[in-house]
Formats: sequence, structure tokens, C-alpha cells
Amino acid sequence: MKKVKLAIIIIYIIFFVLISALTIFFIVKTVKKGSDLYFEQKQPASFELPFKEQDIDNLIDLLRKLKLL
Amino acid sequence: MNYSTALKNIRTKVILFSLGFILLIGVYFFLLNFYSKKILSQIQEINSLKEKINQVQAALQKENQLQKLKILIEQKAGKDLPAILFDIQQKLDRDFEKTKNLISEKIQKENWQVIKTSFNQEEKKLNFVFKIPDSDFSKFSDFIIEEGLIWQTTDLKIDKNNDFWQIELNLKTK
Repeated sequence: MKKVKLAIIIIYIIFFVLISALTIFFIVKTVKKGSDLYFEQKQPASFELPFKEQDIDNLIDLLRKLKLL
Repeated sequence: MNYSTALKNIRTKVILFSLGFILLIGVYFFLLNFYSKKILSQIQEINSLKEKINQVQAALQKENQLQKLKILIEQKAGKDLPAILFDIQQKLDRDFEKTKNLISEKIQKENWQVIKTSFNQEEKKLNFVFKIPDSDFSKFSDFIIEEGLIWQTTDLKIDKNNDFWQIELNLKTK
């Protein structure tokens, strides 16, 4: 009977260790993947104006010279 | 109950216990995997929302910048943008009849000597050959530039004969 009790205790310990390992493994895996996904660096969408102020001055001057304005 | 029967019972219990144990581990593994995937899919959903917010912000920024550009152009030109575009279009999109009348009236008004005119209404092409006095050359160039005829001109031939300029003006209209 002592051997049976010992076997059951060992099985309980293995059970506990396996459950803990599985839990820790999934927590670590989820947190790692989640943080990678959440903090994924994406190229921020930016918009540059097609003209600078000087270009507009030049364009207006040109239109005036060509009598289009 | 003899010893072998008791041993058999214990073996059966241990096997059942082990099976239950494996089943529990399996169920637990399944649950952990299920919730892990659920959490990750929710993070992806948050990411797609963040992406949408970024896109909207970029679109707003773009609109804002273009609005600034429009205001800047209007300030520099001293007119509204639709008025600027209308003026340009008026000069660039002059039709066949208007162009013909404009040049004919100018030639008549300035008493320039017409040598030859030919019009092709199908192809929307106009050809004027006329003579202008030497002193009127600046009038002619101002007229061509101010009325935007330079944009419709396909060919321009200018020859000087004594005190006159002989001009051949070919235009294409809309």
C-alpha cells in the first residue's frame, strides 16, 4: 500500500509540475507574441506637400508672366 | 479477496487514474491554446483599429496640408482657386469661332494687311498670313501673349520685308 501511495504522490507531483509548466509556457508564449504584435513598428503614414512656398511664388510669377493669371 | 485480485484492482485504478490525468492535461492544454489564440486575435483587432486611426489621422493631415496649400496659392494670386482655374481655362480652351473672331477683329482694328487666311473647321485649324508695320510688332506680341494665343499656336513664321513684318500664324483650337 505504501508503494501505491508513493505512486499516487509522484503522479500528483508530475501532474502539478506539468500543469504549471504548461501554464507558464502558454503565458510566456502569449505575452511574447502579443507584445511583438502590439508593439510592431509600422511605417507612419506621412504626407509631404508637393510644393514649397518658394515653388508657389515661382508658379504664380510664371502664370503672371504668361498672362494666364 | 486474494493478493492477485487486489493487485489487479489497484492496476485498474492506476490505469483509470492515469487516463483521467492524461485527459485532464489534454483538456487543460486545449483551453490554454484556445484562450491564447483568443487573446492574440484581440490584440490583432486592436492593431487593425490602431492602423485605421493612423490612416484617418494621415488623411486629416493630408487634407489640412492641402487646405494650407490652397490658402497659400489664393493669397499669392489674390483670387479664389476656382477663379484662378476659370481664368486659365478660359485662355487655354478658347474654341474655333472665338479664336477666329478674336484674331480677325484684332487685324481689322489695327488695320493690318491680310495676305491669306484659311480655316479648317473639321480639324479646328486656323491659318492667318498678314503684314504688320515695324512699329506694331510689340502690339502683335503683346496681343498673342495677353490673349493666351501662344498656347494655341502650332506654328509661327515671321519674315521682315523692309518696314513690314510678314507673319504666318497657325493655330489649333478645341
